[in-house]
Amino acid sequence: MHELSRVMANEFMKLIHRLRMWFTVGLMLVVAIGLSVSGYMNYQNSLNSYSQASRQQVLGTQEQNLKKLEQELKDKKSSRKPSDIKKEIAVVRADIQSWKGLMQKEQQIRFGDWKTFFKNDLQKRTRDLKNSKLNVASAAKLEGKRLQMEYQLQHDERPLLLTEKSSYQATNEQMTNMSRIFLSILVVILVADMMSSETTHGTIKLLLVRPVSRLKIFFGKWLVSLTITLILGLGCFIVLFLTNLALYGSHGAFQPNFLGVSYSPMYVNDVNPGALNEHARLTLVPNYEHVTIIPDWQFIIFKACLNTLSMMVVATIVFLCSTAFRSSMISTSASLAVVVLGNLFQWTGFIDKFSKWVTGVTSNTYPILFTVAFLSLFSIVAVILASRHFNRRDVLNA
Amino acid sequence: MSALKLQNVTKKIGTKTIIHQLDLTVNAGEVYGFLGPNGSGKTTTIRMMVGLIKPTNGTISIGGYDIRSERAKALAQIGTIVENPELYSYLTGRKNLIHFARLAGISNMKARIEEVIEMVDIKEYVDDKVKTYSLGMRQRLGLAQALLGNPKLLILDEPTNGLDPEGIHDFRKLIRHLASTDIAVFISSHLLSEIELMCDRVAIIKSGKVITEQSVTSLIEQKTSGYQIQLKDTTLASSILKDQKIPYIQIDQQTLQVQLDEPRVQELIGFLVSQNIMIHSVQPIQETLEDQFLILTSDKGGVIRA
Repeated sequence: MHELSRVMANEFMKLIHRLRMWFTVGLMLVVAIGLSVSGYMNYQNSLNSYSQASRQQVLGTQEQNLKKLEQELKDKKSSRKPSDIKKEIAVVRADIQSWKGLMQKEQQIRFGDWKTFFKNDLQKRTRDLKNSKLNVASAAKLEGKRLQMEYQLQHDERPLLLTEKSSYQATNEQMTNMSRIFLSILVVILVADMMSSETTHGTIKLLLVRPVSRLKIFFGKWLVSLTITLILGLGCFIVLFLTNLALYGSHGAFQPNFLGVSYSPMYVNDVNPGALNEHARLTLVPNYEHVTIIPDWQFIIFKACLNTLSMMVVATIVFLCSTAFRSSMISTSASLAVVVLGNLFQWTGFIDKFSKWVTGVTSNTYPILFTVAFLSLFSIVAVILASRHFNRRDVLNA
Repeated sequence: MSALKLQNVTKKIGTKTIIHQLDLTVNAGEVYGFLGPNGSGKTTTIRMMVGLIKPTNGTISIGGYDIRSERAKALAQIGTIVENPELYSYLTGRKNLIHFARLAGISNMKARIEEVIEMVDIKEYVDDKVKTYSLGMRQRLGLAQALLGNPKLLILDEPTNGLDPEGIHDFRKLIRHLASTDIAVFISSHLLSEIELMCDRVAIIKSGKVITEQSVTSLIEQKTSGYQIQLKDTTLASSILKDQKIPYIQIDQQTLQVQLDEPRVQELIGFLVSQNIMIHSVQPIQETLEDQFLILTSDKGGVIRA
């Protein structure tokens, strides 16, 4: 154990003195902060169209339209038929009505007694849900909304309006973007030459002629690869969250979020529910049967942990490439190929399962515990096989 | 107990046999030269001694510990440079030493590092990054890392590569000093002059076989006078020499060099004359150790010694 910790101390020393380490950290900071800031700027832009003033403006134009149309109706000289004008007036009136309704609802939620409002709304939705005329997709959407409202009422958590995006929501979105390919590439940069650089530069000879067993060198390097991935992954998500926290503020930590929503592709018919005719379309329908609802702050911690864990599986694969190939360049290209192909093919969809499971954009084929168990077993078996090979092989030309 | 003992060591890679049944012994306090042309199997042998390559057959023991069954104990006895001293160029010399000291499991790391820095005289630049070092500076640092673990056996592969004359002088002094403290030193080289000045005993290896092992003094004493024979044409004469398994060197189209004593040269000349071969002249020459090495390792010489 003592020897293993000395091997690890050595690996960390080498790592922090290498340019690529600081390049990776720098890249991570730039991308994490950049992503948060650009997301915030987009949000600020969209705020304009949600603002009370712009809504008043829209309402004003529509009311002017209405006046014009009413005058046109009184004016006998108009070229259009009165019935057409009446139709148009009805449309504009309905529009004005719905705008007013929306603004009222927002006012109600924001400043009024949102709970009473919600209770009434919930009753209405429950009634609607019983209405058999709804198709599966709309019913599922309604069910999701209902569960969310129930949670908010139960936990006395006022729902956020579109103008009140939280740092948790932003972090959640950006985390998904980050972990797809960017973090995997950072892991490749850091880990791909962990072993192969020693072979390429010949230092492996001086490393393996010490009274420390080869297995300890191998596992020491592997553990350092995992640790640095852990630090990098969690560090990245923390930077992302802190930047968002600074930009959006701290509200919204206790908003509900769904865990374990499964989506299955189904034919949905908007006109005649259940019928498989020309109106049917294929769509992903959420299923809330085995769902757990947790607050947003827990959700993003859970997601960060699972994403980091899947990064560690990637790090293990990359480390194995580094041991298998003796040239840094080949091991780096091989690792990149594995990561990129892995994103294209289904089997690493499996590896990437953690994050997908959390974001929910997949059918629920494998439960999460099975996935964790499979990936751990896969990594351990692969590492044991590689370590045996490493322990036995001749160092002929390095 | 011998510091290093190889018994019947053979290495095959694929179907090719690189090392043939090698036997050798190095004692404590001895400086042992391992001499051979490039590609003769020196480095493969050294890699087997330090556990980088597994021998196909035979045993290697270091200070009585078998390199395979008691690897850690055996390697704890060794300090080594395998080929070039490849160090971490992005670290300073001192950090490199710390790195290897951790792996050697030294108890008083800091003090020992200062000691070896003093021994190989690298204090001036030990805190610079290794990428700024010259080859000679790297050799010294390589030697320093080899000495870190207080080895009983020092295995050095071409250690004076890249050293300037002063560096070579210092190096020899250090090696002799280490030997006087009962450390066994195993030095490989393709330069005889280097071995001649440093070693007590020398083995000459050719195509994976040890062709001679003797003390340097006996090697020098054996500087038997050779003879240069000038002929009209060497073709026939050289085939006769080959038939009789007499080692020779072809100097040019008309000159052959043989390593025989006087009566046998007379005998040879008589024989050549009886075969109607025209001889222009026969001259005794003073042979150097270098010539002997060339004869021993030349391909034209046939089998030298059983």
